[in-house]
Amino acid sequence: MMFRRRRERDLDEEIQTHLRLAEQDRIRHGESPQDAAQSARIEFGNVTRVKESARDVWGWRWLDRLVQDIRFAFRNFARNRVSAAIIVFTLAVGIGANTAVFSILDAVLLRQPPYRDPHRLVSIVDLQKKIGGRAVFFDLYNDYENWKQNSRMFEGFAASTWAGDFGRTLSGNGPARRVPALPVTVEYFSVLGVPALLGRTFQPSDRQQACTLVLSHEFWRSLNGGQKNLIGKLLRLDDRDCTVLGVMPPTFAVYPSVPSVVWTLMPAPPRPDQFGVFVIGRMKPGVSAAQAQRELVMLHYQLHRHDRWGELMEPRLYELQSEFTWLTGHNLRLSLIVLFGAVSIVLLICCANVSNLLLSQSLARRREMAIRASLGSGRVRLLRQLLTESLLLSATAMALGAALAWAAVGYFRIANPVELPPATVVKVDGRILAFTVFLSALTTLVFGLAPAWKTSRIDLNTALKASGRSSSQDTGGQRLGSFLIVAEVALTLVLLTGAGLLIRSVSQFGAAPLGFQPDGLLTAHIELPKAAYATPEQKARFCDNLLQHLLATHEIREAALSTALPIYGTGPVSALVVEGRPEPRPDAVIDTGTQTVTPDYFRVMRLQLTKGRLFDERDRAGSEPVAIVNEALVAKYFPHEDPLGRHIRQFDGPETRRTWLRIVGVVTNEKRTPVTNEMSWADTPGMYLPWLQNPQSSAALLFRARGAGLPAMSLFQQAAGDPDVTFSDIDRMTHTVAKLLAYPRFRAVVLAAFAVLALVLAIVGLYGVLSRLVARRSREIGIRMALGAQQSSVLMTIGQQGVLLTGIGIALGLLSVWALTRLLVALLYGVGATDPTNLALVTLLLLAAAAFATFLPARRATQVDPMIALRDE
Amino acid sequence: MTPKKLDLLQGTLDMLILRTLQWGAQHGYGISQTIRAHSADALQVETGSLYPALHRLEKQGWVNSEWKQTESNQRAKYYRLTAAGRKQLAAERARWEQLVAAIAAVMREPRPEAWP
Repeated sequence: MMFRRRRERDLDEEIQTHLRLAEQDRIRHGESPQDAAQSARIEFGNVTRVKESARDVWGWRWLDRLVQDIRFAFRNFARNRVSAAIIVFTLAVGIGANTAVFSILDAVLLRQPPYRDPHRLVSIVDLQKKIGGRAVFFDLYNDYENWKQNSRMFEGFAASTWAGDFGRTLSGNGPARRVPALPVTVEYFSVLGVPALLGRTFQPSDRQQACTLVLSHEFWRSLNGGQKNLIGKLLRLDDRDCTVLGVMPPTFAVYPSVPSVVWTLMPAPPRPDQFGVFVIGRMKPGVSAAQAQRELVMLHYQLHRHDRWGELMEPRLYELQSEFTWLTGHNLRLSLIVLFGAVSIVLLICCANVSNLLLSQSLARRREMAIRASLGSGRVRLLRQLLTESLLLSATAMALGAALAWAAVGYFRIANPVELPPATVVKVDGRILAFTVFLSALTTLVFGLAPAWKTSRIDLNTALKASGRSSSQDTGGQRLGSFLIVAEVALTLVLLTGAGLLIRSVSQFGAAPLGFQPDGLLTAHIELPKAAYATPEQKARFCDNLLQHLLATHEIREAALSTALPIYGTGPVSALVVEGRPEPRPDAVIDTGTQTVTPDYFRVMRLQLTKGRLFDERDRAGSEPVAIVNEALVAKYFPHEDPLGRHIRQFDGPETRRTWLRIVGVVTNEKRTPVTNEMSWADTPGMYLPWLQNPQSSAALLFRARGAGLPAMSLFQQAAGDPDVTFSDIDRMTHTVAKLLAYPRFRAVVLAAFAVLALVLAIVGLYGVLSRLVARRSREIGIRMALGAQQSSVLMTIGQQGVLLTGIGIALGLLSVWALTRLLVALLYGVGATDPTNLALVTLLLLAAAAFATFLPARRATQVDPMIALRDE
Repeated sequence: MTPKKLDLLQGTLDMLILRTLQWGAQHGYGISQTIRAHSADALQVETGSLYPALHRLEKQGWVNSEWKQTESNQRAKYYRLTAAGRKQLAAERARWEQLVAAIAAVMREPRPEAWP
């Protein structure tokens, strides 16, 4: 800078010297001093021009011009404060929302899980052939053994299970508590290809040991803050001493994603043909999923040539990551894709709106550009000025948008509104940030530079005369603007429709009668130590005691035990055999649930008895085995018959023969969530068995309390009278139902937010285009009014324009809705994708908003004073 | 104004300036006067070209400058030819002579007898 100033001074002085010397020369040649000074100056020419071009040589000019351009740009923004703010804000929202949503989408759907060569990992799940769709059944343990021994396409297989309750009681380490313990096979960690952080994972020789454990990082930390010397020590699980082999790294996670978990070795089951496992396979390099699938299917039919499983099921391969995603949320993938589609639409609308604003500015600035061009600004110079302005706008928007994306992703990580698949780390994705920034920069550049491009094409004279109004070039801009508005309205209609459908689905889903009364119903999980309560009599006696003690307390009004938690509880687990009818074929669809309950269950749940009787003291060990069935079972198996007194039993295949149960009662249905679709309620055919005939050691405790609050854990411990019995997960049923709704609601809220954003943007856009129209035609309107046109007819003219644009937009939108909302079907409940009420409401909302946006400029048109409009030339 | 005022060919001004400075250090006004005098008023260097050219030559290291007193005892910025400048002048002169010879040859050449 110092150097530059000195140069500047030198140049000044050099020029002064030149003028002085020339002047003296002239005086020497006989000119008068005044003449000499003047002619020296004339001969020298434009001092400023000379200085500028000399300065150019040293290359400071670009910096000068840049500073000048930026200063001018800021002056220009200050003058058009509102539109500059709208442009920056619009782009920032577009960039921010898009980046945030895509970052989540990327983390969940696109990024591979942190296992070795994850593309070679597949999950193997059985498909019930008669039903089709997505395979949801565990494979059998003997399938796993069969594949392990005979497959040539796979490097290895690993099995795990999370069926039923996979908790174990940890004692000797503070008070006894339940900890999640996942049984896995020896190869589990080696197939996933993740080594232990401390110690080691399982190896074949561990099968000889009584009990060995691998700990998750979080579980290890929860034990006395994580000690290295824990490796090789013993932990007491379910009254057995287990050796700690190793600790996994903190990033390691698999489904089910419980952060604090221990892995135990799965013992070989007594009946491998009835024990279900989740199998993960690692394909050999170069093997395609289709080849692998063919081989497994072939091996499956070899093994099950003569049994029911072969008739019923067929294995299916899924990419491990997508399987985990599906297990986490059946609609997670679709939801993310829908949200990303929505946010992309928002980005498009943002860009369209910004284009529109810049376009209208460019029309307004045509005169300014023409003046500057006529004063000698070169085209390059004008272009650079506009370029600076555009880049400034998009740079500001980028900074804001990036901040917004970071905030949104940060919120998502902290608030955890949606359960994500294991080992998913959400962070702002640089690539999509770059892409959205590029898109917005492109928009501002293309439409920001329009005035310079126009200036180079138009005759300066015309532009100056036209005073930036009503020249023929205007119609081009107006047409483009109108096109953008039509597109915005159409896209907004699509978003509003989608949001409307999701919101109505959530509210219908939440308001659907559940068949039981969740208000005031409380639940807890209870677990008896298996050794101390080995016999059915011991279990039965304990449960009887527990319920009596609980009901004797002041706090508990009603209580019952059940093997299934309402809602999540028992889906179909078997087919059904009715006495006197032919045995079902081996491939009979698995459709019936079974649940064991204490007699008060139906009263606690508020289920209605429609026929027969409930369980009572008659139904105990040794008495006639009985069952109560629900109306769904009656509708399916006894549509025109009296079910009372009929005998039924579960069908697990021809080789197993369970005892016949006599139906003594029929109760109303309780709603359940089916495994395959989280956004629906099912009336699963179900039978209830009396507790005393089938006592269990693990149960859901259902109760209603007198007070409003949740009762303390100690109350249960006292009632149980045994410190080794564990109680956990005390919760309200309403909360459990709400949790089920939380994710669809979050999805609906986010989509609704995008839709509202789109609506606001479209309205702002429409307002802008119509305002420009009014401004452009104010002279014409003035003339017409001077010639006696009524205000109402002027209002009509502008109104027509607004209605036309909105109308075309809505028509196009309705067409797109017809095509697009079908994709949403899986996310809907109680409302069709092309629900006419929803479409009507959305169209009305859009029309009302558009009317508002049209009315303001139209009214301004009626207030045009003919005198002023005509004088204003 | 001289009626026979000639426009300088692109790049020629640099060569003229360097040539002028071969006779000794000179200031901007002096350079323009020298060129004018030596061309019998046919070449009048515009200040708008002269000063940018001087600064360009200085930036390229062909001339350097210092503030000195003139004969009339005024402070002025004198430009002096550097070793690199001398080399450049030789190169430009050679190129110039080739160009002149080539143009002259073309101008003198009689019309070809027949076009191929």
